[in-house]
Formats: sequence, structure tokens, C-alpha cells
Amino acid sequence: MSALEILGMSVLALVVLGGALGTVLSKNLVHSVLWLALVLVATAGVYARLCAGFLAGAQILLYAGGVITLAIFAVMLSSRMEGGPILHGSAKQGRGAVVALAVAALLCGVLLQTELSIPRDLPVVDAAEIGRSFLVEYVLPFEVLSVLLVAAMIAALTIARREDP
Amino acid sequence: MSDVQFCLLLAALLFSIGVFGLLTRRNAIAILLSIELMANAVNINLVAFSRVHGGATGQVFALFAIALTVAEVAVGLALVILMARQRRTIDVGEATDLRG
Amino acid sequence: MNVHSLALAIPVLPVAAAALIGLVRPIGRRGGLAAAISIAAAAASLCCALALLPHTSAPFVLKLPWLQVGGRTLAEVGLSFSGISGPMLVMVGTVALMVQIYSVGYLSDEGSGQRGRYFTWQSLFLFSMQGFVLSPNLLQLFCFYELIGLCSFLLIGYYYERPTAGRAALKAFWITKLGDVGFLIGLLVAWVQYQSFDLATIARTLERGPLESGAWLLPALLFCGVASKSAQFPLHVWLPDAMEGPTPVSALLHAATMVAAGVYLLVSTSFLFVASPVVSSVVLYVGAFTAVFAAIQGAVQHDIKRVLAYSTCSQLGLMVAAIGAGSVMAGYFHLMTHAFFKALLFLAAGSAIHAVHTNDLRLMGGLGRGMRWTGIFFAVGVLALAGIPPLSGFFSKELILASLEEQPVALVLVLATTFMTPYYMGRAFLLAFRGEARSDSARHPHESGWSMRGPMLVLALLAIVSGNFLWSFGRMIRQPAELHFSPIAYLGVALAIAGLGLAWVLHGKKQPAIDALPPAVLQAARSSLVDQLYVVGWKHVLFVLAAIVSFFDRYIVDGVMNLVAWAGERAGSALRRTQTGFAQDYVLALFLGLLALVAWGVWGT
Repeated sequence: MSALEILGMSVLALVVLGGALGTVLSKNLVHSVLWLALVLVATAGVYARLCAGFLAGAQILLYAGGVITLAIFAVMLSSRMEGGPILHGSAKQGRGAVVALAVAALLCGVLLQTELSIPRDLPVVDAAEIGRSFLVEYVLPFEVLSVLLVAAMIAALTIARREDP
Repeated sequence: MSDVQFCLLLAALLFSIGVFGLLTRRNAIAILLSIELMANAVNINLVAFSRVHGGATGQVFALFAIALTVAEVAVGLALVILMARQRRTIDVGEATDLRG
Repeated sequence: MNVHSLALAIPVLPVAAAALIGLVRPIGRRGGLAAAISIAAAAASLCCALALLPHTSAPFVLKLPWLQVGGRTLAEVGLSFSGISGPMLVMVGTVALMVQIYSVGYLSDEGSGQRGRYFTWQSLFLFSMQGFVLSPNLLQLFCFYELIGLCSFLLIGYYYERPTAGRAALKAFWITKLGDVGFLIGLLVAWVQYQSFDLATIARTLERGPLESGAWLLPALLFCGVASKSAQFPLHVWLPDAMEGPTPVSALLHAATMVAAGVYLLVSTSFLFVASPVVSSVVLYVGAFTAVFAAIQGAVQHDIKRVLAYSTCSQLGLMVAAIGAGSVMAGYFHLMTHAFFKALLFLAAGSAIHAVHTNDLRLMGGLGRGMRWTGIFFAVGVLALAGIPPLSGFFSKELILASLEEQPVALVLVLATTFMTPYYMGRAFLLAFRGEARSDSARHPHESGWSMRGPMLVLALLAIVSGNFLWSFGRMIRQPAELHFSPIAYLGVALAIAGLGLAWVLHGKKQPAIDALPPAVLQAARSSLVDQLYVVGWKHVLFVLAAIVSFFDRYIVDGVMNLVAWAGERAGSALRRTQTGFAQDYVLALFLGLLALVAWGVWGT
């Protein structure tokens, strides 16, 4: 990899990890949501770097667009219902940090010990290829997924609905 | 180190940060956001391996994962709203009804 | 009818009557009907026994396997008819029938339902006794032995509203049970030594050759059972108190049959005692001592039934002593004759008690004038018991004295008894039936009806003539029956006459002395030392042992259990603290487990 590429990747990585830390450490809930938005966008950039253009686009549309909006709505609604200041703060950070560091150590340890060979000249996977996969090999999960989305929609509606007085 | 390995390491660290958030935060919505981080890390992993093996499989599964995560967040947030309405709080420290 | 059915009918008829009266309420409530059924069954049973009597030369056994374990038969149930059981069946049947007929008159002023209860127990007792006589093995003997004890308890406690009756019934039950513990242990020993409970099998085993060791164990233990049922010292204490029951019950159980069951047990297991001279000596001396001891006590009683009770105890001692000396013939024959004249004495006493409404000799007197028949019957009984020829008692007493010719110590004790027995019986007769009446009710007694006189007449006749059956009896039980007219025999008769004479001198006047002995001696004779020793043993030995065992059970055995439970509870409480209800704690645990698993998978094995 060229020096520019290395630089680009490092910046992207920093943004992702920094945003993640912001999400988990921020005392203000709305700030947390916004940090998450940053992470999601940066992840799209990672996908682009990995030659997954369609996925990068989908990531921005669905995650950065949909989930963040949903989250903001929920924060606003719940803070109104709570009637008090938005909760912040965390408990028992010590043990959480230990476990998280252990997970990190385990995963990184395994990763660094594995030899990964990457073939050089692979055809780039584009949207057409993905679409074809959806309709040929993975048509069943695709259909099931649509059922699942309907179910999720109905579930969310039913759960969050106001009780009739 | 190739860029694929770099991305895998990135995913591992992102996952760990998500775990930290999951174990530490008291606000229900914050926990959901931490779970989002973990799901994202998994997605990065899938796409990286798709790059290693060629073929669309990894990316297809990443798309599935995105769709599923979105659905899960939707239902999760609905539950949070319900909890807020009923208990007037979304602090998970207050929800200890299963205490033995 | 073949002999097997006859033998089966003997116990089955009374138990059927008992079931009918006891379980069918409409019958049990009607005293008259109950009496009729019971008497009919007893009569029929007696006829069967009489019909079987000529067949004693052809003994038979009917058996069914009962307890079977792993293909081996441990115990059987059945009937054994032989020359030994034949006469006993007839005697028991006769006395039982006479007593039941007599009871109709004696209990005539009891309630109808009460009489139903009485006849249920009477029939049940007859079944138990006949079943006992017919038992072929030790286990069945034991079962019927216990049944007999139960019926005794039920019948002694017939007047259950009286607290003394209840206590007496319980005392009888407990003391006989005490001896029966020995019997029970004996059952175990019998199995260990002979691998069988069957009497015939054990007898055959002993015929082949004596046991290497421990031959004394089984007879010694069986004698414990004998001593309690037949009221030998020191297990005699229940018999005087058992007089709380109605007099016919005393006549049947505590004179003729139940107490005789112990002696019968000695007779049918005599082959065991023959094999062990040590135990036989013990039996001999216990019997002789009991005979004299009870005779002394009988001489100082005021209650006419207690005189007879001690007399029974004493005569049983004579039977036991005779068998201990080796003469089954003497002991068994005396059992037979004693049954008849002692039952007669009890029934006559009952007749007097019924007329005067009291047992107390001090309130009787001159009854012979108003109750001629009863007086004559009682006199016949006294003469028979004293051993005056030619009444039956003479024959059996002579046999007993002959059997003790080689046992000087025992002989002296028995001769003393031979003197005392006519004395105290004469005293009882004279104080009750001669002289002047000492109370209002004694002045105008009424003679009993023929329902009571009839049985007494039959028994009196038997008391007079049954001595002549000596030779056929001897043939039946396959033992020699000879009468020697040795000097001892003459001495016996002389002592009897002397005893009667003394009684006449001391108590024969118009206003006789009640007690002829100095007060100090009277006190000593009347003391209840043996009873007091029992109480001491109960309180200071049994209770102490029980306290120790109870402590062990409560604090050590239970303590271990409680410890386990407490430990479980503490552990549970400690573990409970992991369930915080806090979801993130559960997630933490999940991750820790996951980490451990993965680490083990990657870097472990």
C-alpha cells in the first residue's frame, strides 16, 4: 500500500474509533446519538475502501438516515415522558473496561496470529452481482427478510401504542 | 499488514468498545446505541472477508445484517418508549424485578 | 365327615360365630341371639372334638405354605392332630361350653349390647385356644398365643367403666407380653438352630442326635413365654388382678384354658426340655417355688376370687414342676383334672358372688343353708383340689408326687403345698358357706337358676370321675401311666386331711376367725413386693435407657439431618446474591463465559 492509502485508512480508523468512544462515553444522550451518526458515516467510508460501493450507499441510507432519525425521535419522546433531565452517567465502569479489554485482547491476538492471503486480481462486486445473488442463491432469506420487516413493523406499532382510555 | 487485516483489527476494536458501552451505560437507549456499534463491527468483518474470498456472499449477508439490525432497533426503541410511559424512567438500574 | 373336616371345624366354627356376632350389628345388639349363636358354635365344635377322639392313634397334619421367600417356604399354616392335642381339644371345648351356658345366667342383668360384645370375645377366645392346640409349628403357636393374650385383655376389661378393670387388663397384657418377648427371640433361635419352625421337624432333628451347643437356648426362651402365660414367679403378678373380669371369664381363661396354654406349650415341646437338663432344673425349681409361694398368699386373702387365683397359680406351679422333673404324664394329667375342678370352683364362687353381690369373704357366711347346690358343688371342688381319693385330684397329685421322688428339695416344697392347699380352700369354703351370715345379703341368698347349676353339675361329675380316664389318657399321649402306692402317696393324702382338719379347727365355728395368722405374717404375705420391683425397674431402668436413646435420636441422628438442611439453606442464600435482577450483570456473566470458552478453544487443549 502506498503512503497515501495508509494515511487515508488511518484517518478513517481514527474517526471510527473516536466516534465510538464518543458514543459510549458521552454524558449527553443526544450527543451520543450524533457521535453514532459519525461512526456510521465513517463505516461507509471503510466499505468504500473495501470496494463495496453499493453497501456503502446502503449503509448511509439505512443507518445514518433511518436509525439515527429513529433514535433522535425516541430520545425526544422518552425525555418528554420522563419529565426529568436526560440520564447520563455510567455505573461500574471498572469491570466493563476489564471485560472489553479482554475481548479486544482476545480478538486482536487471534487476528495477528492468523495468516491471511489476499488474491490480487478479483472481479469487483457491484450492485448487479448483489442483486443477482439476492434473486438466485439467497432468494429464500430475502423473502423471509421481507416477512420479518413486516413483523417488526407491526410489533413496534403494537408495543408503542398508547392505551385507549 | 494488508488493508483487509487492518479493517479486521478495526472491527475487533470497534466491537470491544461496543461491549464496554453495553456493560456500562445505564440509559436504555444508550445500550441500544452500543449494540449498534457491535453490529457495525460485525458488518465490517463480513465485508472484509468478502474481499478476501471474492463473490458477493459476504456483502449480501452484510445487507441482511443491516436490515435485521434496523428492525431490531425499531422494536427496541418501541420497547423503550413503552417502558418510559409505564415506569416514567428508562434507567435499566431501576428494572430489577427479576431480582432473586 | 372325614377327620380332616372335623379337625378344621373345631376352630372355624367359633371364629365364624365371633365374626357373625361381632361384625353383623343387628346380631351383636341382641344379647340372647348372640349367646345362642356362640353356644351353638361351641357345642358343635365340642362334638367335632369328641368325634375325633377315637382317632388319636392315627395322627395327621394338614399344612399350607404361608411365607415363601425365594422359592423356600419359611413358614406354614395348618392343623396337627395327635394324641397330645386330642384330649386338650375336648377339655377346652367342654369347659368353654359350660362357661358360656353359665354366662347366660350370670350376665342376665347386663345390657343386650354388652352381652353381644361378651360372646364375641368368648367365641374369639375359643377359636384362639383351639387354634393354639392344633398348631403344627412354633410361628403359628406364637400367633395364637398372642391372640389368646388379646382375648384375655378384652375379657378382663369387660367392665370397662371400672378403672381397676382397665388397669388389670392392661397389666395382664403387658406382663404376658414381657414373657412373649422371650418366646419371640426363641423363634429366631429355632430358625437359626434347626432351619425350621415345624415341631415335628425339630423333634426329628433332635432324635438323630443332640446339638453341639446351645441346645438350652430354645427351651429357656420358650419357658419365658410359658412363665408369663402360666403365671410363674416372677411373672405371676397379673393373675390376681385379672379377677376384675366376670367370674365365668376367670373360670375359663384363668383357671382352665389360657393359663394352661403355657403348660400345654411345655408338653408339646417337651422333647426340647428333655435334651437340656439345666433348663429342666430351672423349670422344676421355678414351678415348685411358685407352688409354695402362691399357696401362702392364697391363705391370707379376703377376696374369694383372689384365693382361687393364687390357688390356680400354685397348681400351675405343680404342673410346671412335674414337667421339669421329667414327667409329662403327671403335668398334663393334672392340667386336665385341674381344669375341671378349678372351673367348677370358680363357677360356684361366681354363683355365691352373684347371690351376695360381693366378693368379700368377710361379708359372706352361712350361704350353704340357702344355696344347697352351690355349696355342694364348691365342696366337691375343694375335695378334688385337696387330692382326696377317689376324686380326680387324687390321681393327678399322686402322679406329681411320684415324679418328684428323686428331687428332695422340690419334693419338700410340693409337700408343703399339698398341706397348704386344702387349708386355704377349706378356709374359703367354711368362711363362705358355713357359720353365721355376716351381712344382710348373706342372710337371704337365692340359689342360682339351672342355666348356672347345670354346667356346675357337669363339671362336678367330671371332677369326680375323670381320674378314671388316667389309663386311656396315658395311651393317647403315649406315656406310661402307673400309680405307685409308695409312702409318699400316703403322706400326700395324710397332709391333705391334716390341712382340711386345720381349716376346720381354725375357721369351722359359728363365728370363725377370718385370719388365723399373726398380723406381722399377714402383712408380709400380702405385700406387693414383686409389683413394686416392677415399678422400680420400669421407672429407673427403662425410662433411663429410653432417655439415653431418645437423646441420641434427637441430637445426633436428627442433628445430622438438620445440619444438612441448614447447610443447604445457607448455600442457597449465598448463591441468591448473584441474581441481582440487573440485566447488565447477566450480560457480563455471559461475556465472561464466552471469553473463557473461546480462550480454552484457541489456546487450551
